[in-house]
Amino acid sequence: MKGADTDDVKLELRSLRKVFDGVEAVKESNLILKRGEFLSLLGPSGCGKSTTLAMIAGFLEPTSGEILIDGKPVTHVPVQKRRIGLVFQDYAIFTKMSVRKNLLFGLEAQKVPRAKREKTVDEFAEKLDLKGLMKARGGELNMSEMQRVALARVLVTKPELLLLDEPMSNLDAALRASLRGELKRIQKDLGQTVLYVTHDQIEAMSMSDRIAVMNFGENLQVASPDDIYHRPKNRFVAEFIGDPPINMISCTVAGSGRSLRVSTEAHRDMPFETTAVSPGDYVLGIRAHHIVAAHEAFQGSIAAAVKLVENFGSEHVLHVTYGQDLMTVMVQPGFAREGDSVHVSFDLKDAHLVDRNSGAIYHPDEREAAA
Amino acid sequence: MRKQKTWQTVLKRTAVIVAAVFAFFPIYWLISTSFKPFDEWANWPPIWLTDNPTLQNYRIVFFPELAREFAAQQEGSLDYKVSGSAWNAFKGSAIVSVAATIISVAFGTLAAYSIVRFKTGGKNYPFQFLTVRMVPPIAVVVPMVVLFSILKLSDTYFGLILAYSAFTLPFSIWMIRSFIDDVPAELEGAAMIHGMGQFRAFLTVTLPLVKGGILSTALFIFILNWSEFLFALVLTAGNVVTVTLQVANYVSASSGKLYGVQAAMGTISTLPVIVFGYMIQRHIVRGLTFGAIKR
Repeated sequence: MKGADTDDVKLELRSLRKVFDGVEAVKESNLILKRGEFLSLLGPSGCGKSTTLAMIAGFLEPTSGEILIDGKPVTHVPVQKRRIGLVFQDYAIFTKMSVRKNLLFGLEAQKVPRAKREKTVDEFAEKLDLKGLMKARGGELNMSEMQRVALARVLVTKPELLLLDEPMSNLDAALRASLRGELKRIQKDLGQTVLYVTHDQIEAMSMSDRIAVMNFGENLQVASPDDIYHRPKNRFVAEFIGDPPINMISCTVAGSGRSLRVSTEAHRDMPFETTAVSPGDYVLGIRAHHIVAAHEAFQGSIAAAVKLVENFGSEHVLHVTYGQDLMTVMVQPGFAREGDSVHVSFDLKDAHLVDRNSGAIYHPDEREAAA
Repeated sequence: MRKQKTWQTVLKRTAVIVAAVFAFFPIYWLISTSFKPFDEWANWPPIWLTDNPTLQNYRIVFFPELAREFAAQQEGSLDYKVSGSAWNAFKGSAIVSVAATIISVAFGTLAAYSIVRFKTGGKNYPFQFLTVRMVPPIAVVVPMVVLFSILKLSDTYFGLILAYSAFTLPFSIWMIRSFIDDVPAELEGAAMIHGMGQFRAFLTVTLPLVKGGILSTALFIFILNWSEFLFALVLTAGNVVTVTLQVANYVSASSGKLYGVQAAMGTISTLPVIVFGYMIQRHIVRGLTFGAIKR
């Protein structure tokens, strides 16, 4: 990323840090956001993603580090001069103003000529399907209308950079699903550069060009959704992404050179090809849908008792015994019931080897090469 | 069960009635006395409602020269020397109370905003303000008299306005703080994101939302100022007169306090408070319930 054409870089964070009362909320964050890109900051509550956003918007002064927009440092530029759009988690709609007034707000503050103001507002009201609501007062709107108004209010000002702070966390699941597509469409239409903060992996995975996974103030991995899912760099990323959560199984690695052999409690000497790993105790990470289950025994399979069936609708998730542990397996609905015995196995080409101490993850060379 | 409920209702209503009597009796007595003729003011047993209502007391309030004339008509040796005019007192009170209220609320709003948004002074700062109110005014009166005479502020409007502003500022800050606290910072944030400076965002977004709260605070402060007696008494010497001082002026050498005239003055002086309260009543209801309404 460092090699990206500087004209292409919209936002750059250089060693951005924020300390609150001795607690490091954001640790040395480095990030580059390209023009027109949709990048998500993904992580659990309190991981520092909203703090990062507040620093970019200008509401918080960084403890150290630099923020650059279009290559120019803005770290000490006041909020109102940064030309950034921000949609707040609670939308911050002006409840006493009409929707039209809300939309006009930014343009009036920026002293845009009246005719142009009205034209732009109408244009975005059309785009975001707000035509019928223009006369309603902010306080009369429901959550999804508020969200659209908040988005339109920011978009009319044609911000250089759009920041979205968990904009869907107040909406119900069905609405969220439809708005994901909507938001992505609008973003593409406008070629808008977006930094999206969320703790919802589905939102991040479905909309982003790239995702930055954060935990404890640290930027753990910045990569495309595919890479985040298939080639996580460390244990936290692997465990945070994916539903059901990735299976983590104790294992030992033996052998030398490129041809290693991985043994778990139930499987012995499975081949694993990588040059990055030296023998020792590891954790084997494998996702539920990479595990093969059958009613009859097959080569390499072991018998497993079904302890619980989770119904996901189009798929069922079996919780089966695997040695001393439980493991989740994704199957077709109706494949097995609680108390049944099934046979399971997996291919290590889909697995991740997790270092017990550092949490670093290694993949088979073959998959690494595909990246 | 049903019996219990009736019993409870009776008890509750009785409590309300007792409270209402307790609150309204002084007002009733004030108004009733203001219409009583001279010989009924301090009768025993008390006369609850006079049979001979008169406007004499009100006339004396506005035309003090009538007092002597009136005294001459009465039997016995009445000395009805009434000093000062009610007009002057109303003017004085209006100037001092209005100015001090405006100053107190204006500075209170700014201070409260700073405390809420910038955490000025740290977590316990607002409580420190309240401790000012724990000092009984009488304890600081003497030093203030000395200070005011050194600063040549005694018996000036400016001096009294300053004293009132200083003493009501903690209330202003404390009350307005709670109203501003209820306005989400994101609203101002949204305004700032759209190109407004912090102060402009405060003026356009936050201020209209806390208007009701500020007006009810203003009414509260105004009542405090309007009814203040101690500072007015010790910090003035005849040039500046307030209504409370004027009430105390209605005494005669021979017959003690002129209760009827005092009651008339008292009745009139409650009117501005009622009018002001009525004018902003819409906002007060909003202001007083502000914190109770969930966003």
